Amino acid sequence: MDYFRTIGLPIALVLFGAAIIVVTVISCTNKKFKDTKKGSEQVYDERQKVLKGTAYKIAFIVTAATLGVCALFDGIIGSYYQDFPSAVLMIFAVFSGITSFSIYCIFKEAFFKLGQNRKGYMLSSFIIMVANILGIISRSGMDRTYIEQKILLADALNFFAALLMGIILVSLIIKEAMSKKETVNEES
Amino acid sequence: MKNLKMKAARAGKDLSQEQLAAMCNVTRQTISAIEKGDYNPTINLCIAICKALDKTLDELFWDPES
Repeated sequence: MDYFRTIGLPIALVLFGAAIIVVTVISCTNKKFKDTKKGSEQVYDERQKVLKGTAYKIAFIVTAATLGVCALFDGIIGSYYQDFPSAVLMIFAVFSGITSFSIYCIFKEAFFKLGQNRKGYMLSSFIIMVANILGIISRSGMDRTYIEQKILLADALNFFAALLMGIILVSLIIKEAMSKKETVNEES
Repeated sequence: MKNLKMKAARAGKDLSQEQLAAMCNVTRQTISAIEKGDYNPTINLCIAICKALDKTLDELFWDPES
């Protein structure tokens, strides 16, 4: 009998889940992990905190809805493409939630903290996007059929990461242009 | 509801939204949202704005019609 798979693995997963809950509760209640101290340079102001709460709610709804849609499509796509990995659809759902969160925060000016270096963040996002694209390109040259689930899954991660960074960058650029126009209008 | 009193007080002090935001430790967009009436600040932020503009809470945030 394979004790690891039948007993050990479920117990390990339950313990891991319990550990996450305990750490989360402690971090919420312990003063050491409380919000930034007074005079700290990089904080979210009160309006941004409210908006981030709304953004988390939207991200949850988008993720749940996407999972539902993917589950429906999996039934349809799966019947035509036997080797299409369902895990890719799940990753797509998670990334959809992250993307919706990011876009909402960017356009509501709740993405960056006070005093945060925006250009530095945009530059690092660009580097991450390019690195992921290079990863996809370098693997595409190899002789692969993409039928093996692990290979398709790895490319899906790179693809979604590059796509997410690209969407964030485009949103930031659009928002910067809108903000400049708003500043000119409001101060005139 | 727009907060024209706050906007007028800020203009009277010759402060931009950016400058007032820096004094109150919030973003420019928060000040803009308050002036447009899109966001209701907490009492702590109201006090910070009043201190920055040398006004009282009544002068900036009291609306006799509400």
